[in-house]
Amino acid sequence: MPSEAQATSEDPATIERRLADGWTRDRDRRIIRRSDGIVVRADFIGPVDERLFAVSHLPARAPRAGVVVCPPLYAEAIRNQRRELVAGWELSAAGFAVQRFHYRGSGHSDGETSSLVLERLVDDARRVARHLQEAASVEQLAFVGTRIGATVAALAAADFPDAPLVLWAPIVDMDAYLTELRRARMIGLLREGRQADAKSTDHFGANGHIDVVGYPVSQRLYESVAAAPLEEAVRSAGPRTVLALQMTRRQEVRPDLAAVVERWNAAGLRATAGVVPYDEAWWFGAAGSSVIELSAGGLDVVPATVAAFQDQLS
Amino acid sequence: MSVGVSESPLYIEGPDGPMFGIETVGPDPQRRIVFCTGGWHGGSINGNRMIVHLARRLAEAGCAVLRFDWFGAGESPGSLDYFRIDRPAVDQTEAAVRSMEAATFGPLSLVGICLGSRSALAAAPLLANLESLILVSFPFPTASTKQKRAERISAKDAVRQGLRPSVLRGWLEPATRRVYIKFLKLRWQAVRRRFAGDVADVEAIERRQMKDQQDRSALVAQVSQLAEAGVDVTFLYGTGDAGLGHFEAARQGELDRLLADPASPVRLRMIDGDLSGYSSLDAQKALIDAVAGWFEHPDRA
Repeated sequence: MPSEAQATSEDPATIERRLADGWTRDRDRRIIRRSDGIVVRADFIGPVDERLFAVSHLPARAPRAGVVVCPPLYAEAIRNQRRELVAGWELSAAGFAVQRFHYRGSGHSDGETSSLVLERLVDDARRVARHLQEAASVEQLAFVGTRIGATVAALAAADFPDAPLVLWAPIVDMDAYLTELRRARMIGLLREGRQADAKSTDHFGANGHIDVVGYPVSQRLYESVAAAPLEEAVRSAGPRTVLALQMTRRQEVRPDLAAVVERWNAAGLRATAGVVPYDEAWWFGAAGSSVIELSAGGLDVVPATVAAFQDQLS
Repeated sequence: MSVGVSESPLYIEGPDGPMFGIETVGPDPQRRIVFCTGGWHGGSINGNRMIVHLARRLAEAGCAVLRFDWFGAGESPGSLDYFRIDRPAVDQTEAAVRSMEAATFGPLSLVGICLGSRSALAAAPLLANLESLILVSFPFPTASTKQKRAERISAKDAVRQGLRPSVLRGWLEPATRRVYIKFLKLRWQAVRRRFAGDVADVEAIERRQMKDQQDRSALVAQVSQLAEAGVDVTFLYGTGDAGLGHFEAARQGELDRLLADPASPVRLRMIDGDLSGYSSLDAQKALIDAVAGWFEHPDRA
């Protein structure tokens, strides 16, 4: 596990180069990477109208364990998509079976965005975890979660004793998150020239959501996540290894995250925090200078995650 | 989704490698629709799942719909290092259209969004049985327009605008910050030219303006040829689109004639709000209604 400093990274340039690796399509829903034989398959799982869009990444040989990737929501999901895809490739190259998915009401999955609520997100993550165990014949699991997905991962992992957790840019403080949403909403409105609306403080209106740069963030979801703070979600998941990766330009772990990690350790977990030096503009898109960076910046989280699971799962 | 609508993820055999897509097929589909999405951001999902909603609604209306990710974007493998706005992904668009032939051979429509609409227009002449093109926030060439604005603005106005609260807040946001920095560089070059009389720079600007003009004319000529072949071409812009001004510059002449001619299949549809950036929920709904409505109502002309 990386210590409380900058997260370890084998060579980000290697990962960027591997983006360009050759792939072949063997059937409609499967592709195979020529260099190492990893297989990627896209599918819908579950009953009609409750289907989850799911992408599995499988190693060429029998997997050593499974990894469930819990995405964030709204614009953050789109910003994180390429990182999760690359994580799927790299983790499967390291021998793990990886399952990525979209929650019901998000991405390509069935359901309406208004139905998003924490309990349903956690149900979906559990469903996906069981699907992975069965489909890839793995018992041992690990979870990766980003932003709100970090809380989802922690709650879902509670069903799987000892499953290690890696949290990308987790939301430690929901009030700070709400401030972030307000700021994003205000910038979005100002860009549209709606200055009067931007000054409004009535964020969750009569319809129960706020329009944050074109995403209906619902009060129901916000309250359900606020009622299950990350700190408590991880602690109640039980003793396990946890790596929290902060994604910011600043090199030091934020005091609030450091304090939470300390309390997790006091509660018997094996927790560390790391920093990936990348400032993600979660609601506004790209912050990079090259096209590759625009599409997939902050890839340092990937080798740090692979290293964490390689240490923990044999 | 309604009974009879099926949805299948797939990988399309693309020219550079496999491309991820999802085919949504309604009962007894009569026409094919391919979404050419905007650049790397949003991909086959798009902001707030706009393309997902549209694909499902169009399938219910009896269409076979494909949404896909360009090679190197979204769920597709590969790298985007080939990507340039002035090099539309014609081969990839053709490959996506070919992959739909198993679902139906019905009339084909392409819906292009922002950068994807450049690829849709460029590929159009090569596609058989093409019925219509819907070009959302079509980006006409912009380089010299930005240059002109940077040159025309006075120092006093530049300072006044730069001190607006909305502009100051824009510095907090990386994408906007990059635009500001680019603008400042252009402005600095304009000032330097004024005082130093840099002939080379002036010539470079004139070359760029001429190139823009040629590119715009070439794009309008493509639209004109499609119209002559009887293909419906609809431009869809939001009133707040950054590219609307460039469209207005491009419509002088031939495009204006096509838009004014009631017999011409070229149309312009405006929607309140921003379709090219961070569109509001209202603008999204209006866009979905406009695109779906076009296919749902046969009397659209």
